[in-house]
This record gives sequence, C-alpha cells and structure tokens, in this order.
Amino acid sequence: MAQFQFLTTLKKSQGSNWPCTAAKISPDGQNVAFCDGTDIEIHNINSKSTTLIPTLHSQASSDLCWSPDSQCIATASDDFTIIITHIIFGELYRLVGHTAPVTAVKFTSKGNLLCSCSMDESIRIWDTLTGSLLRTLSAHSEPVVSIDIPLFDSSILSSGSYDGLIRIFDTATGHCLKTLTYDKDWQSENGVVPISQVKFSANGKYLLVKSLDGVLKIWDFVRGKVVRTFISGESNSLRYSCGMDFLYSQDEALDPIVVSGTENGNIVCWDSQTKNVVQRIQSKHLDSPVMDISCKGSLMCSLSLNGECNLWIWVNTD
Amino acid sequence: MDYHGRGYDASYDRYASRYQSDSVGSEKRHNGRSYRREKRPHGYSRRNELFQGETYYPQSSRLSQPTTVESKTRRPAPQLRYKTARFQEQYHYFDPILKRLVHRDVMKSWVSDKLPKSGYVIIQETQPNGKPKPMLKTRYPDEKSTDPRSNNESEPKSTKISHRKPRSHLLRLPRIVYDKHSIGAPPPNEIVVYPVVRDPHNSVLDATIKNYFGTFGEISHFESFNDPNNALPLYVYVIRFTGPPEKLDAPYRSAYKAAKTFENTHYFVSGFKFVVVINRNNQSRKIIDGIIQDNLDQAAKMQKQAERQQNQKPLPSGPQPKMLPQDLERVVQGRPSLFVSKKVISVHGLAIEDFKIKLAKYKFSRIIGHASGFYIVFNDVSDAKACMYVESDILTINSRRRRKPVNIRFTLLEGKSPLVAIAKQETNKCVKKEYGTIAELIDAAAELVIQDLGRALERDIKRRIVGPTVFDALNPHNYPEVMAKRDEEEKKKLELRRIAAETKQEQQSKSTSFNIFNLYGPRFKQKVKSNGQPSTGDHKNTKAENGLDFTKTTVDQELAKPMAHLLNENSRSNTPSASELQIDEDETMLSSADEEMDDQDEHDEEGEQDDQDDQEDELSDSFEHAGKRAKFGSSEATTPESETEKYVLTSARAEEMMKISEKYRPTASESPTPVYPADLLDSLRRLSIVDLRDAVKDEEDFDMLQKISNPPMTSLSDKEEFMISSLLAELNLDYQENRKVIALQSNTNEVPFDESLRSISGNFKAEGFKKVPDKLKICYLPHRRKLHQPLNTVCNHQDAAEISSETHKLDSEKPEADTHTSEITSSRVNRAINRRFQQDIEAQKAIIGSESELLTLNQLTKRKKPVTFARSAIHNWGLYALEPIAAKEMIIEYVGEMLRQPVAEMRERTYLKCGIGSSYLFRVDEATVIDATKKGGIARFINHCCEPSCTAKIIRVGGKKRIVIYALRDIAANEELTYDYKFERETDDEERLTCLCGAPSCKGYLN
Repeated sequence: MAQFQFLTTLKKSQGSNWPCTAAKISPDGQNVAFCDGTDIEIHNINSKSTTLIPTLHSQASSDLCWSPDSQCIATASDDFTIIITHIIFGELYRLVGHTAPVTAVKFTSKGNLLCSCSMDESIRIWDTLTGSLLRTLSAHSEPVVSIDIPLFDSSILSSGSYDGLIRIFDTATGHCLKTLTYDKDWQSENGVVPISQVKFSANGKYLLVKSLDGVLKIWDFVRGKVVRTFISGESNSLRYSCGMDFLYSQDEALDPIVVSGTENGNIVCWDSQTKNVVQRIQSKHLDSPVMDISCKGSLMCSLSLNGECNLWIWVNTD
Repeated sequence: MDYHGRGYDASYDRYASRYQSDSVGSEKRHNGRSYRREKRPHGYSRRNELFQGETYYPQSSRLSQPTTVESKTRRPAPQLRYKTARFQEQYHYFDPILKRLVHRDVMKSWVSDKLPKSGYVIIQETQPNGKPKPMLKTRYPDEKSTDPRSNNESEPKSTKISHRKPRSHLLRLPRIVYDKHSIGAPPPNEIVVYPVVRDPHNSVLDATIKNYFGTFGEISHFESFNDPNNALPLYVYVIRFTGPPEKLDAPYRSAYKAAKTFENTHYFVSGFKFVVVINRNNQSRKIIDGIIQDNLDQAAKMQKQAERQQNQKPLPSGPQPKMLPQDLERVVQGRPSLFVSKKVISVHGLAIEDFKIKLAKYKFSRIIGHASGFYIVFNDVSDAKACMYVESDILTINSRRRRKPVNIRFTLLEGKSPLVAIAKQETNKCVKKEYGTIAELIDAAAELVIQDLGRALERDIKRRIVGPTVFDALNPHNYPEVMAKRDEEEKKKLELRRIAAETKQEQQSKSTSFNIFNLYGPRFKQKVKSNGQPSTGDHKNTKAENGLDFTKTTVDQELAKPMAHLLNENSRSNTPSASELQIDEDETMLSSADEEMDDQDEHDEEGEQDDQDDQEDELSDSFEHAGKRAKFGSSEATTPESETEKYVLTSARAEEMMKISEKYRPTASESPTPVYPADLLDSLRRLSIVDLRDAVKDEEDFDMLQKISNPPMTSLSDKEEFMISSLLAELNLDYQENRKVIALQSNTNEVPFDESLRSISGNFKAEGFKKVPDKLKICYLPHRRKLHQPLNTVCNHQDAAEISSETHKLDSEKPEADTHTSEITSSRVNRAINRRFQQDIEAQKAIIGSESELLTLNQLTKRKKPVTFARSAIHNWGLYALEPIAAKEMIIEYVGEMLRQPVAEMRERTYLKCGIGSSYLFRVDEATVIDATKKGGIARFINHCCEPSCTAKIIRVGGKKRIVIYALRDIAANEELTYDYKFERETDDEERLTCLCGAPSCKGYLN
C-alpha cells in the first residue's frame, strides 16, 4: 500500500494580497515555482532556498509553466500578456497579443513553442525563440481555461473551455482534430458543464479532464470515449478550477494515480485503473480550495488559494 | 418383355415427373430412383390411365375428356388415293407400299409434241361469238415485229372539229403544297434581310429584327453577320422559319409571307432600309459578299482620300495611330495598352471580365472601360506586343448577344511617358515655328546654345563651388563645443560598459550551469556578427583591458555615419587602409577639439590597429562557426523528423507539414530534442557590450548612466554599483512597461476593459468560474466590434498580412466604382447563364420523364454562392460572403432535416434541455419545420439582423418546399450575411432574446 506522506510546507499562508493559483515543480525536479502576484517565487527543494523573481506584469498572473530545460518560466497574466522569464537572467520576452486575461500557458516538449489560452476565447501559439505569434486558434465560445500538450508529442494540443468543450488541435496546422463532448454531459440543469482542467497522460493516449461539476474523466481522445470517471462526491457546481494531475509511481507495476484537489481543501487520490480511492488527504489546506497540484516523480506539490503550499512524497507504507 | 418393360418405365418416368411437377402442393420430390422403386405398382395403374387419355392433361381437364381412343391408338393402314386403274396405267408415281417408282420405264413428258419448237404465246383470240378464247400463237423469233400503231394509220382519222377556243395564255397551275408526300428538297424557308440604306450613326439591335420577323412565324435560326475585316456588323440577317411538324409547309409560308410583305416596299427601322427576300440558292452568301466588297471598296476609297489628304498635309506622318483619350492618360501613365473598339464591345455586350479571363495568362496591369472602348493596360511594352501579336484577331470571346464566338481585334497604343508626350508637344511647337529671316533663325539658335551653356554652368557651380563649401561647413573641426560634449558622453558610456562587462563576467563565472543562450541565443549572435564584434572569451579580456579604444572605434563609426556619404567613408569596411583613414580623421577631429584627448588617441592608435586585426580573425572564425552550425542544424534536425514522417504521417499530412518551417514542426520522440545544438552556441553565452548599449535608449536612461558613471560614493564595489544600476534601470523599465501595457490593452481592445470583468481577487484563476455576459464580451473580443468583418478561425499571421497587402494593392489600382459595376454585371450574366442551365435541366427532365432528385438538387447547388462561416460580431458564428454578391441573387439553401410540427416541438424541448441554446429550426409552413441542428448545411450560421442583407424565401423545387436565402442588396466580399428571423413577438419579457446585431434600426429583441 502506497500513499502520500507529508514532506514539508514550502510556503505558509500569510494572508497576502495576492491569491496563489499556480505552483509547478520544474521538469528537473529541483525547484517549485509559484505565482505570487506579479512575481515568481522559486523554492529549491533540496537547499530549501527561496528566490523571488520580479516580473514586469502589471497584474497578477494566473498560471505559469516551466520550460522543458527548467531554465525559463512563462507566466500568464491578467494584463493580457505572457512573459518568459529566465530564472537567472530575467525577462526574455513579453508576448503581446491576447485581448483578455491569459488563463494558462504551456511549453511544448521541445521548448520552441509556447501555447497560451485566454479569456478572449482564443489559443495562441508563440515561437519562444523570436517571441513572435505564430497562430491564433479561435474555436471556443467561452473563456478557454486550460491547455495541455503531451510530454513527448508536441504535434497535438488539447484545450478546455467554459463552453464545455474539449478540443484537440493540431499544433502544426491549427486545425481542430477532435471535439470531446457528448450529449449526456449536457443534460445538466444549467446546460453546459464548464471544463476546468485538461491534462494528458504521460503516454499521450489519454486525457484527464476535470469539469466544474467536480467530476474527473479519463478520455480516450482518439476514440472519443470516456474510459474512467471519478466523482469526488462534492457539490455539483464548483467555482474554482481545482488542480489535478497524474502521478506515476516509480514502480512500473503500479497504476498511475489521479490526484485531484477539491474546493474544500481536500486532496483525493484514485487508482486510475480500479477507480478506487487510494487516499483522501483532509484538513491540511484549511478549507481553502486546492488551486494547483503538480506531480513530478514521486513528489507532489499542492497549493491552495490562501497561499499554503505543501510538498508530499509518494511512498510505500508497507 | 424386357424391351417393353423398359419402354414403359421410361414413359412412366416421363409422365410421372411431369405429373409431379404439375400437381399442386404435391409431396416432396424424391430421388428419382428410390421413388420409382417404391411407386412402381402405383405407376402401372397410372400408366393405364395415361393410355386412356393418350396425352396428358391436367387432372381436371382429363376428367372432363371422355375416352374415345381406340382408333387413334392404332395407326390406320396406308391408303393410296391414286390406286385407280387410270392412274396406275398412265402415270408414274412412287408407291409407298411397294417402295418403288411405278412405271418408271414408261415415263413420258407432259408436254405434247404439238407445241411449236420456237416457243409460243398464248393470246386471247376473240371468237365470232364475242367470247375470248385463248389461242396458242407460235413465236417466230427471227421475224421482226412491227409497230402495232402502224396498223392504226390505215384507220380513217376522226374529222370532228373541236369547238374549244384556243387558250390565250398558259394554264395556271395550282400551287403544289409541300407535304409529306412531296419529294425533293423542301421549299426555301429562309429569308435574307439586308440593308440598302444604312444609317452610319445608328445601329439596329438584332433583337429588333428578330422580334419583328417573329411575327411572321416561328423562327428557328437567326444569324447576323459581321464584316470579317473590321468586325463591324453588316446588318445582314438570315432568318430561318420553322413550324409545327404536322404542317410541313408552315416555314415556307412564313418566309413567303415575309418576303411578300416587303416585295415592293422596304422594311424601315431606325434609319435603315432593309430589303427582305427569300434566301434561294444561297443568296445570302452573295449578298454578304457583295456588301463586304462594297465596304472594302469604300474603305479603299477612304484610304485613298486620306492619302490624298496626307499628301496635301505632309506634317502627320503615316496613318495616325489611335491616341489615348485625354482623360485616361493619367490612369494609364504612359504605359502601353491594347485598345478594343467600343463597337465590338457594345454589339456583343462584352464585359471587362471576359477579357480578364481570356487574357489571364498575360501580364496586363488592368483593363479600363472607357466610352471609346476597352483599354488593356500593360506595364511592359513587350508584354503588350506579345499579347497583340498572339491574340489580335485570334482571340475569340463568346458574344453575349449572338451566342457565337467573336474575333477580337486589338489596337496597340504605344505608351509614352507623360513627360515625353509633353516634350513631344513642345518639339512639335518648335517645328511649327517659322522663322522669317535668317537673323531670326540665328537668334533662336543662339538662344538655345546659351540655354545649354547656362545649364552646364549651373552644374559646374554646384559641383565645384557649392559642394566643397557645404563639405567644409559640415567639417566637425568647426564645432569644437559639440564635439567636446559628445566625447564626454562617450566616456561616460564607456565607463558604464566596462563596469557592466566586469560584473557580468563575475556573474558568469559564478553560474555557468545556467546557460541562457543555449535556447535563446541566435538573436544575440546575429547582433554580434553584424557589429563585427569579437565573441570569444579570450578576446573579451583584452577588450576589457583596452576597452576604451575599442569601443571608441565603434562609437566613431556611429558618429561618422550621418556624414559618411559626404566624407566618402566606408564606415563598415574592415580593410586596414580604410580604417586607418578613418582613424586619422578621428584623430584630427579630436585634436582640434581637445588636446588632452589627442594625446590619448595617439597613445592608443597602435592598440587599435591590433584590435582591428583581431577583429578580422574573429570574424572569419565566427563565419566558420556559422557554417558548422548550419550543417549541424540541418543534419540533426531533419533526420529524426524524416523518420517520423515516414511512419506517422500520411502523404496529405506530410505535405501540409512540409509547408511549415522545420523549426516549428512537431516531433514525436522519446525525449525532447533541442532544435539548436547547445555546444555550438557556447561561445555566445556572455552578454556583449553591444547589448548593454542597445538597452540605453533615451535621455532618461542616459542620465541614469551618467549618475552611475560618476558615483558619489566611491566606496561601493563594482558589484554593488551594478546592482544599483540594474535596479534603477529596472525601475525605469517597469514604469515604461506598465504604461505600455495599459496603452496596449486599450489599443488592442479599442474599448477599455470592463471593470466588472477584472478579477477582484487578483487573477483570473483565483476569481473562479464566472459567466461572462454576452454584452460584455464586446470589450475583449475584437471581432465583435468590427461588425461584419470576418475573423479567421485558423489564421497564419504572415499569410494574412500578405493577403491584406495584396488586396490593398489591388484596391489602390482600381477605382472603386469601376469594380463595383463590373462585378454586378458579371453576376447578372452569371444568372443568365444559370437560367439557361436550368432550362437545360428542365429539358433533360422532360426527356427522362420523371422527377430526378439529382437534377433538382443541382438546380439549387449550381446557383450557390461561395460563402464561409467564421466567428461573428452578432452571435457565436456567422456566415460570410467570399465574393461580392449582387442583389436578388440566390446565396444558399437552408438545408436540414424536414420535420413535422410535433416532432419539431419535441426536438426543441430536448435541445433546450441539452443546453443547445441556439435554435436552428426553420419553419417552412404550418406543418413542416426544417431542423439544421444536428444535420444541416452552413446556412444555419446566418445570424439575425434587424437591417438584414438577405432574405429567406420559401420556394418550390420539384414539388417540395425549400428555403433559399436571397441577397436583398449588393453584398461586398467578406461581409456577414444576415436575414430577419421574423420570430413571433414574445409577450413574456423573460423569454425575449436580445438582439446584438448592432444595426442602427435595431429593435433590441429578436422576438
């Protein structure tokens, strides 16, 4: 039996002015970066040192993303811009083009492209080398809140929007390859269930989708079918897009774990194969919504809206 | 016994099987053999029956047939009818019983010996009793026969004298009507209408003639003729009449009637006097040839006359080429053009589009419609000439009026630049000037010479006196104060740079693991290269040591730039001589400005030269690097990708991929591969001074740098200094950036971002889910504001820019009104063509005789206009015209599932329940609704507008009601198509839908 063990609190909730919405473990597993208002805060996991990198954003950023070489961070801000910041040298590019707050950013695995989505219902693809805008994909009719690119395949891009649609795009041509939705999903009292998060599995075959009714689904997006559904059993219409992620344990034989934060500060872990609840971490985040969950190796970092950030490790308890 | 048994068996079998197959609902047929074995006894009884019935009948009929069979069963003995004594004696015959010929030996001929040997004829001889009797008359073939009439001569002639009077004239024969029994060619059914008097200033429309002669009968063929020499109409018409098939002479009657009507008179129409004759013996050809000959003669006469006139007036040489009309000169701008006569165009109703299509392969710049005709303007004379030689008189365009191809003749108008034209006019004027006396002529010549000399003088003054003075005035020696100031500035800058470089080095030595330029380097590399700066670390040190000199040269280069063209300097040249020159000049400049500086300069000159050499080495090095990089880049980047393409991509996709530059192509690899190899860029990882210099952009920055370069607290270490400077710079940047961002936000959106949309709690994500009201979306969706402007769903930004520039070019070339009218005419023509097509289809249908789904479908799809859907300002998606559409034109059919009313109501409810807010149900009539929600065409994307550009009409096609969208007014390309939804007025305010069409007369609600 394996489960998460509390490792450390990287950051305490201090009741700061700025809400915290994004915490990401760097691809090399050395650092954790948070959005702290307009600044980026980087915690080194090993040395436990903290660096604060100011950015030129005029408004707080919603999301950040590590470049695959763990050298740069892209931040998506409410001032409609994205800034790529090198953690040593400072700002590299300011990507200007969105006409509404940017909601999420994601580097491709090569690091040469950056995809961003925004409240202006569009997804933009940028060239990180020149800072130029390559493509605009406008195919949603409500704010696009989440995008993801598979780890080893930068040819596709998935997006989730408040209009209830999950779309798969071809990054090269910008064509929509697939739209994931089905009528059953729409049979809600309020009409459409907004999508809050999308996340590809590591093998790039499945897509984990979280919608604002608190249900997580694993889609086989090629066939357009839901293969697993996880219900956290909470309120039906959530407000915050709480974080979620896949955790792949070191032991190959074990199934990947779906880790999902809830609005009342809990973290629920499911076995992605059996749909059993493996662990339910409660009363750690003081009833504050868990805004982001980021897994890397056996590490898991959870961040709640009040600024508390905890680091967990997946260990065998046997 | 054995034989019989078998025979029975066989017959039994045959009958049995027949019986078997014929009997209704009989038992299953068995295998023949087993069946026989089982049923044999029964079979025998059956056989007896059969013998009674002789032939098999179906059971019922057999029962009704009584059995009278005995005689028939036995064959009767053969009887010989001719078994009489008379026969047997007289004739020979074949006796079937004896089976031999009887009297074979005594056979005789039937013909009697009395018959004459030379043949005979049987003639009817009238006997005395009056009865004819056949008589045999011997023929004598050697005898010659006599004319039987010669016998009559002997008879006495009748002496009767006729009481009839001799005819005074020939008998009038009745007109023979041509009917189905008639043989030979049908009577002429064509008439020729040709002019005897022509009004040179007027023209007659073909339609006029056709309509008039249509009153005489049904016209099957109407042809008008043109002069082959000048393509002008000859006004000769050949009209062929036709009629109903049962009245074969109707065409002729019509033709005759027409000819008869104008037998003695002429047919007058708009100044023309026409003769109408029946077209016998290809008379039309003769008439046409005659008229053409006449025209030729006339033309020849005219030419002679013109020549005579020319001889009288020697000035204009040769036939004057057609000139461009004055009003077009500005548009044509002296370019060559081909001219197409107005006459051809007006007669055949040709449009600019026809020429555009036909001449698409030529590089003409535009076609101008003018009162005198069309002018096809070329940019290049050679193009124009090529087009002229290839196409003139050969190009055929289908006449819009006469349904036949017309040869187009071009006239080449050689372009001359307007200036040349003016000059020509002037020279003409000069030529015209007459000089009375020799003295006057000399004076004029002298004047010309003086003018020339004056011009030469002017040039000399400019070159030799003004030039040098200006150069002198610009000499920096004359402005010591300015130079001094500049020097000061330089010094400050240099100092700052030195500090920055040092700190940078420190930092880099501290953290070599973080390598920014591995990923983001090329930009810097380029810069370094363009500045010709060294880039290796070794050199960096030397640079830092004598950085002063080195950077001075760069700055000098910069300073020299504005005046470089005056001072004949090559600021970028790396040849030692040039640089030395430059240095000399610098030196002199400085010496005059400041003597101390002068010393320093002299001091550093040698070092500078060394630097220069180094620089060259470095340059070559860096080029090598670049070459290597290119090689590496291509090999490393392409190999994995080609592999993936081989296996993963289909050919179509691969093609698509090939369009994307290699850098951005996605790869599917186990681990992320960097596009640029890291090690090659190592040499570039350090910031050069140039970058810092670039960072300083305005006075403010500079002031700050000044402060830093003259620090009041000298105790600060270098690093601290740098920190301060960087902080200051950052603050400034911060301030500027913020201002920029705010400006940008309002710039990109044009409208301030609505405050209610701003996140109160910090950022978007922290705000959580919030439904954005449709009304507020306008402040961040630019396409919402640009009403009727499409937003490409997938757009490549570079492409878009290119297209827009192209269209812009086109637009600027064409006057607005011109394009507009021509497009509309073309669409009208299209409609005519479509109508014709439709008629064809109907004819086809008549032949097929049944309603074919395929044909009805074609009718509507044929007339469809190119449209596309994109995000709309009114509601989610909208339909946009890709081409200009003329008013009343059909645009698209509203396609969907046809439902009955109750089904539609049910569906509406389910859709609402499912959250499909948009309604795509379209009511056709009380009973039927078309639903395009799940299955339907793109016409469903058309939005409502209170001032619509289109309208939906319900038309009947092949007995089915269909919804077709028509244009209400002329619609420009890329305009959004809208129509009035005409929803029923909703009384409940809650249910009412707000209208976002943005039209000035918007009612505010859809329903």
